[in-house]
Amino acid sequence: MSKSYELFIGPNHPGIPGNFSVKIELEGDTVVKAKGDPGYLHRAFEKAMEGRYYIQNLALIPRICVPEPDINEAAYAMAVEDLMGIEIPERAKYIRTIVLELARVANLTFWMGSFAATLGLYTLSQWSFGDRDYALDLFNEICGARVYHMFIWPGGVRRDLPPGWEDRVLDYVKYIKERLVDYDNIFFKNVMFKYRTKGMAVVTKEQAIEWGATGPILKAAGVAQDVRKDDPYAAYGYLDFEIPTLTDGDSWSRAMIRRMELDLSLDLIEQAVKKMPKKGPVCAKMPNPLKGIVPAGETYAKVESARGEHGFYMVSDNTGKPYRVAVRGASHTHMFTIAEKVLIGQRLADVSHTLVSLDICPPEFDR
Amino acid sequence: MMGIVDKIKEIDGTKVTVQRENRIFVDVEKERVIGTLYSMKLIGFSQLSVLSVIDRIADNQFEIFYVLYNRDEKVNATVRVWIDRDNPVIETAEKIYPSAHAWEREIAEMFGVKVEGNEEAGKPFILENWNDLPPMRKDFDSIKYSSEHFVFRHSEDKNE
Repeated sequence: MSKSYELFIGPNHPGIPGNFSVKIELEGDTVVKAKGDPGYLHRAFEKAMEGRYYIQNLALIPRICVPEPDINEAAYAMAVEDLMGIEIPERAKYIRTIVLELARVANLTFWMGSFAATLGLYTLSQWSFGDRDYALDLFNEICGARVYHMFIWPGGVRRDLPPGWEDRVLDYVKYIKERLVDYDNIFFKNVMFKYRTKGMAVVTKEQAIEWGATGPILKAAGVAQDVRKDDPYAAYGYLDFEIPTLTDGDSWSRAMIRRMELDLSLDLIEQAVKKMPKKGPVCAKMPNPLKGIVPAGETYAKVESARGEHGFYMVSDNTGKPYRVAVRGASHTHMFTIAEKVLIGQRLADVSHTLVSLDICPPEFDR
Repeated sequence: MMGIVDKIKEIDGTKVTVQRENRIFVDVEKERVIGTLYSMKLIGFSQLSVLSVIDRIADNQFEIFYVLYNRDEKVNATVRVWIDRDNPVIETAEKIYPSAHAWEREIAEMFGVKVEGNEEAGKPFILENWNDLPPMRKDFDSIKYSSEHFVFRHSEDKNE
């Protein structure tokens, strides 16, 4: 009689983050083997982009990451600007920063709800999903869409901010700061959270570096690496901030890093609103988007997403359509190199929250 | 940054191009790619950000690129190697960069590149029961494939 048996976590499972499956092999309730099974969500974005004008691709790229679509817009725009040798206006840099950080806040609140739910605390999910919605209202004001914005585009941003929008963003920041007290009381100070996550699914500093981790996994292991600081884009070079790090590299540390990142994002929004030029163009002079030609070349543009380094490798052949676009999502490495290793030895009840603690976003590899 | 450029130039057989600040291209011959990647790791390029392929169909070549990152120097270097499109074989880099394993599975499936030493490259990864040209190749016609394999669903909207 076989000692082990196989279970499918996903694609339809309350503990799986998206349309994705992890095949796990168990002995008793201990995982002895884990294998990611992608493909449920693949829509061939990279292939589709080769057949469309640069401007048409704006409708595709936000969909590469549902909870935080703006990182795709920013990295794509930066790659095109790099190939065309375009410097974007100052006001556009700040608007991009505010939008990207607001998207990070929306993503992190969404993540907190998901993480708490995998530990059995659904109250925080209700709260945080609701609080994320207020951020989506703010996106709705600037572009008419809540989830996929298509607002950051090559040359700057699509249009200027509506009157009073900055004040409403600051009101939202103030509101979230007040709410975080409740979040801390119900979750981050909760003994249950600490008991379930301390010492779980550890990724040490050496492992994080060797396996190619970025974002919260790397920061939780003690490495202060962040694209915003190391290779500043948008207006990050003008802002004053430090990258949070912890040392234990466990599930608890990764969650706490994201909690600290939330504080950082709120602070960056306040700084950016304060320092942003009140007037000025929001987009550089660009050629006709349906006739414009991007000079031949190759480049790699990257931004810091809530999960780590998110990049676009773009190749142009001096036409109006990209010759090749390769998308680098942090989840690619985090799932197939890290999760498949750290899941081994976990109990079945801990599989879901371990996956969410690594923040696996399936569209980043099914793209 | 020039210090790291000089260090890369010391690696045998590399042709180094500085694209702009913090972005370097390193072109190598196929036989030297693994040695170059190993040397790059030794001088601090410890992170593989992305590994993929560009189908240079006009030249009948595949361009394999490895985007590496050096966190001490804060520099990205892209190692590029061109291989024959008719016989696309490369050696695995998974022993140098463990994350290369999954990227290599992807390029094996999407471009038909044979990756020697990677036991899973060539096995189904994202696709299921695929029996056509590797879909990311330039000569794979996705519109033709769709029209041959899927039924077009007409809209029920009478106004159209």
